Amino acid sequence: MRSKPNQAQEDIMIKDLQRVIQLNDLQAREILNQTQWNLQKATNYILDIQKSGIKIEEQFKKYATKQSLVIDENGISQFCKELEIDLMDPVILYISYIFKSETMGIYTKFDFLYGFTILKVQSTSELKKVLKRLKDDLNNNQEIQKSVYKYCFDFTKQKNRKDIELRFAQGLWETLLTNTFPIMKQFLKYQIQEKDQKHISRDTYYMVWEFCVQIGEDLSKYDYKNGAWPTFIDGFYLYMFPNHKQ
Amino acid sequence: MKKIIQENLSPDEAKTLWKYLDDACYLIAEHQTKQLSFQELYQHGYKLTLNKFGDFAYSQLQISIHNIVDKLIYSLNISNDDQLLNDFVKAYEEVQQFSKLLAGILLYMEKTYILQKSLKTIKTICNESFKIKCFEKDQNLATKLLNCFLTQIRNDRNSQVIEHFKLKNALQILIDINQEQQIKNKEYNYIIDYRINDDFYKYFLERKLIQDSNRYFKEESQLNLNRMTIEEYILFVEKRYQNEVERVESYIPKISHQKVLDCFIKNYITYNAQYISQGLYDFIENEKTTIIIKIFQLFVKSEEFDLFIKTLSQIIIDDLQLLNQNDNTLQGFIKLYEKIFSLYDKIVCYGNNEHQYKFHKAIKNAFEQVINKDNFIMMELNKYFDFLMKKETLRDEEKKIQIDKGFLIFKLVQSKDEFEQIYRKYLCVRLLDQTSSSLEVEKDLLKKLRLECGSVLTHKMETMFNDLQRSNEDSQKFRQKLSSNLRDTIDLDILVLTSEQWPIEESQPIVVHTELFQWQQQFTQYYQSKNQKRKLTFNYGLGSVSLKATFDSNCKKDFVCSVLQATILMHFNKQRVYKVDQLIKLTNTDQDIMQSELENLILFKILIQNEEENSLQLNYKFQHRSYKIKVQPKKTQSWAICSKSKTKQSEFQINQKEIVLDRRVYLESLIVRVLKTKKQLDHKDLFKYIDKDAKSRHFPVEIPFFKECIENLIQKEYLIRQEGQLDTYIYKA
Repeated sequence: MRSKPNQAQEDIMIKDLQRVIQLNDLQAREILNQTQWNLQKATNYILDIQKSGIKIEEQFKKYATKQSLVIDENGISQFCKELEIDLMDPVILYISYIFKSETMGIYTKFDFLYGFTILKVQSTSELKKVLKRLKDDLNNNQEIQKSVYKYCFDFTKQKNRKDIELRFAQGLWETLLTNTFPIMKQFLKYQIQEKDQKHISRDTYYMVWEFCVQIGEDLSKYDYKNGAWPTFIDGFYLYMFPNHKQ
Repeated sequence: MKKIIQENLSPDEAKTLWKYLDDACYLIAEHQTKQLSFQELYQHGYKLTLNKFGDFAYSQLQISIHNIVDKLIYSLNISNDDQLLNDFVKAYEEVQQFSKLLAGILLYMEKTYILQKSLKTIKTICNESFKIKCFEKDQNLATKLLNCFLTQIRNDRNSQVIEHFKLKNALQILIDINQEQQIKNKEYNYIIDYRINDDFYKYFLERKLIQDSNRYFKEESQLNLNRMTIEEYILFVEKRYQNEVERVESYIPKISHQKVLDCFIKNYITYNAQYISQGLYDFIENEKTTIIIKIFQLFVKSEEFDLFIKTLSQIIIDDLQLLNQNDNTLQGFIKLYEKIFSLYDKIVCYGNNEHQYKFHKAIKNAFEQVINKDNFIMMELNKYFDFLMKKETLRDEEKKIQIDKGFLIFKLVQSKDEFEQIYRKYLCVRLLDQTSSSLEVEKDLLKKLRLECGSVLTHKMETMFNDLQRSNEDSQKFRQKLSSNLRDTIDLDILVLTSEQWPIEESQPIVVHTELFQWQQQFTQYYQSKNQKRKLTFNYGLGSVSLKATFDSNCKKDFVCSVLQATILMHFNKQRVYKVDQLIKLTNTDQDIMQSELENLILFKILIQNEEENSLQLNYKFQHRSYKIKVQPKKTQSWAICSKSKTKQSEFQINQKEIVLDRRVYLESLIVRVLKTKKQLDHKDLFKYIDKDAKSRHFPVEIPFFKECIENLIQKEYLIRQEGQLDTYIYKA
């Protein structure tokens, strides 16, 4: 067992792996973690996936664009139709999380290869059968919810920016959080009035989750004066209790 | 020489011996001791004890003592109220004497029998007996005695004459009769110790004393409060307090002293605190210091000291707000500040440290509250300093004194950075117009500011002073460098200012006359040969030119004019008539600027305007009685340049954007600095550090602003939240 590599060595390994096959940073990191940062083992693993994933590749080509490089939005909507889920269903975000896909609206070949292999399915119809289990997991397991929620920030974010637009954040909150945390319904109402803020930073986004989990409905627990909540959430608190602003 | 008599006694013999002793007791009680032989009695006691008749003797003894004490007290039941005190004291003294004699006679018994068996000593039995018979058995007697004591005290308070000494003894008796005995055993050597136990005294007398005093004080205070003014009342209370202190010292047992005095203060001061403090308004207004000192001393003792402080604060605030509406607000503030603090100095020695601290803090808070309500005082302060700096008629030392007074108020201003911004604008005007009468005083104030607020606040102003000095040197060197004949044609004096530090707006790029431009280029060349990395931009609006002109009939004049005016006039060297539009084009200005520049030229009749053609012509026949004429329009003077709008203003406005930006930069760097040293801190603690630093030197920090800065820093990845403990921030290297 080799000693754990430092940041620079990790980056080099990821780059090496990306030369073998086209995969994004997140997937590379995941695979290398699994194989204890052994480049040889990781490469073998990827080649195995490729070998046994011929059926998956065919599936991929069904949805892919003419150049069969990536699946774009049309392909995705087709994919969802076949899975019999709505495009706005949170489970598709969960699936993307499992795929470790990089950007919303695009699936690469490796996304499919890797994701389907992890889920141990070979085709969309098989995936449909597992769908119920995935949905249950997402609804009941808070760990999974948190991971998916955090992942969605980077998933939605554009490459050149460090934050996401408010409307996308609102969409994510509505999709992922309103079912489990009813306080979010009022939160969304608040944001409609909030015209100034156009972008949501990563910190604020993560803290919204914490807010739901720690405070939730019981707003009396919220410490406006001494708490370290971001100003965006403070704004929500003042919206609910305007007379607390002293 | 003691002989151990080994005699065996029979019970009958014991009884006889005891009879002798018993009779002797009674006789002793009646003071008929002539016939008695103490030695014999001692022997009797000795024999009894030795022959193991101690029990018998002891029990009989107790009965006898009780009877005797009964007898001695008997007189108390029948004495009238006048005599009661005397009789009481006498009775007790008799009992004491009796018990002493008895204890002497039965010494052997006491030492061997009583102490060995840890029984009550004779003295204790006597005391207890006295106590029971006076106070517990017969309620009438007890009540009688109690009333006697209380009446005595009441009479004393009503200034009737009583016997202090007797009363003191009587009250002391109440404590003494409850003494507890303690038997100590040191290697079979028994020692008896009597310890004071004031429980009985407290139960019997002290309670009632306090109750009675309470009632008395309440009545008296209410009565006097209603018919006296507050001032008279305070003097009265002070006298009464002294009186009570003396009384308490002279006959009340020590443990009750503080309680009685507290009761006094409570009734006279604490219950009436509200009413009394209203009087403070008048006293402070009329500076009745002695009365205020008295009130202070009394309130220090009472529990309502805070109310005193609060009322004072309110008075200060009300006064300040009243002054706010007058013209000389700042002077008024300064005067009030001095008045209050001189009062503080006089009073504060009468309280302890806590009182001093509370008082000082309350005054400061009151002033701060009014001063920081809005920007008015801060602006006034600036005007005040500006006025002082420009004043020619004061000497430097006097100026410094006046400035110090204003500085006292400055220390209480919270938004010091806003003050600095305005002050810098005023300073700029003074330095450029050279209206400041003493640079030394300016620098002195700057030093004070730096001491108070730190160098970050004063940095820009210090650069301004440095600039002036350096420009002076540079100009001289430049002049020396010019060749001698060039030196005669023009005399240049150039001020080089560091752009960011001076609050000067960018001026419009005018095209000056070529002659002037040549000189400009020469200087630029010279300067850049010395300082290669710097770029010079010329601001013509702030400069002035002394132009020598020769008119017809050799009329020589010297005009002091702006650079643009000089340019215009010099153009007339080439051509006689110009259209206004031509001039505008030549100088790259606009209609408004040209208008203002030409105004004075036309007014003084240097140029003649032809309305129809909109052209100007030089007046060769110009005449004026003085040689040197100031043509420069007032508008181009420095202070108009420093303010943004073109309209005339007598004040400067605060540039809020700049302030907020500076504050954000300062706060963020401060947060990073603090976290770098502390490695990690939680939200509350971090805020405390920041607040303390920023408040005392620059500006008050508000929580939303603080949070915005933190969010900014998180986004820039200077700090991160701690996993699991999300209100703690960790410095990210």
